[in-house]
Amino acid sequence: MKLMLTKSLRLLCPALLIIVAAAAGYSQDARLQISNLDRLEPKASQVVDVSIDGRLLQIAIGFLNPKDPEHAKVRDVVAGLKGVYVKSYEFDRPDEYSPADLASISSQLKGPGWSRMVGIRSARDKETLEVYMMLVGGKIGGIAVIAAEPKQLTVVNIIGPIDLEKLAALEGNFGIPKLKIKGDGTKDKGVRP
Amino acid sequence: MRDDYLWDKSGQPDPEIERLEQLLGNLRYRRPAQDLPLPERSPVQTRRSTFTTFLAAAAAVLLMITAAGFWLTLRSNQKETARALAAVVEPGSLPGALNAASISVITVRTTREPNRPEHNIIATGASSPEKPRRATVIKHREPSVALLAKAAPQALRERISEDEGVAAREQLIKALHLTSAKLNQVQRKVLDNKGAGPVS
Repeated sequence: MKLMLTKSLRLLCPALLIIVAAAAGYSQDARLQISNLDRLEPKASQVVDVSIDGRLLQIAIGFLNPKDPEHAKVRDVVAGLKGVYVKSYEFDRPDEYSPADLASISSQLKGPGWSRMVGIRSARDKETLEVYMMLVGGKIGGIAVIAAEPKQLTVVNIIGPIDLEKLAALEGNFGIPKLKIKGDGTKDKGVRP
Repeated sequence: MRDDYLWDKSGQPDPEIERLEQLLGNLRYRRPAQDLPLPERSPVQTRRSTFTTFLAAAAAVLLMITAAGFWLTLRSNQKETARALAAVVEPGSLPGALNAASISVITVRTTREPNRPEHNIIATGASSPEKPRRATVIKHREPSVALLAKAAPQALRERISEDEGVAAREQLIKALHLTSAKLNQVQRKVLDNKGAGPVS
């Protein structure tokens, strides 16, 4: 009897550990703490600060007009999301922010669950573009985008499953023409898709 | 002389007292005292008493059941009201093609008195100039006017706010546009890395 109990416990302990680890992995939160960027607001000439939690997201979705094709695309993209958080600062002069401002965000993105999809550092343009993704159970649980340019800093944090292809296709909608970049690097206004 | 004999017949007896005792002793009451039995309860009385106790207990239980039923009904009504009000602002959950833009007045009626409107809820959904507003009727099983009056403004305040909804929508669109632009910027940089430095 005692032998059976010991054997059962030996089998049960690893099983419990696996369950706990799986639960911990599943509950990994893709929400980033980006409130430290708020101190850049006084220096910025233009600020975009969007903070939409799950409840507000549902309200916003409720106010999308299903008959409007652009709104329908947005609805398609945001279905299932739990939150959208964006902070974007435009400055009149370069170097108004320091790498230290991004340090805490970068450290969060080095945590478990997050993996960097793309990282571009341009010495000539003095810009850094990074796209991170959190995978939960083989599915996208959230994304983070950091775009640090000399006069602009943008941090995006989207929580929940999202189709990046559909998200990228949204640019050019909402009455704003899509910007096309020619091979020589000059920008040209393109036609809306 | 001590008075112990007069008190409890102890001590030295007084001859005069003894004489008086003998004289008056002839007049003492000699018959035994009558019994005073307690009134006995008849079987009918006993049954009646038991029945009364049982009736009181049954009444108490019935009262408790009625009170519990009333309380549960109130709770149920409250939940139904909340659900109905929640449905008002969730266009997907409304029957048919109703959406938040088309709801202006919701009249709640009882099934008991179908012709008598109990409460009007003014819902200011997203107004759309091209769509005329219309009234929607939501029927409740047993709505309580007091509960509706209490729950409706709270739910509406919480869930129906045109300004909040429109602002949230605009914020969402702005955020998605910005994100989309940044993702496309990354894509362009990856594809056209002539001017970019080392791609990590």
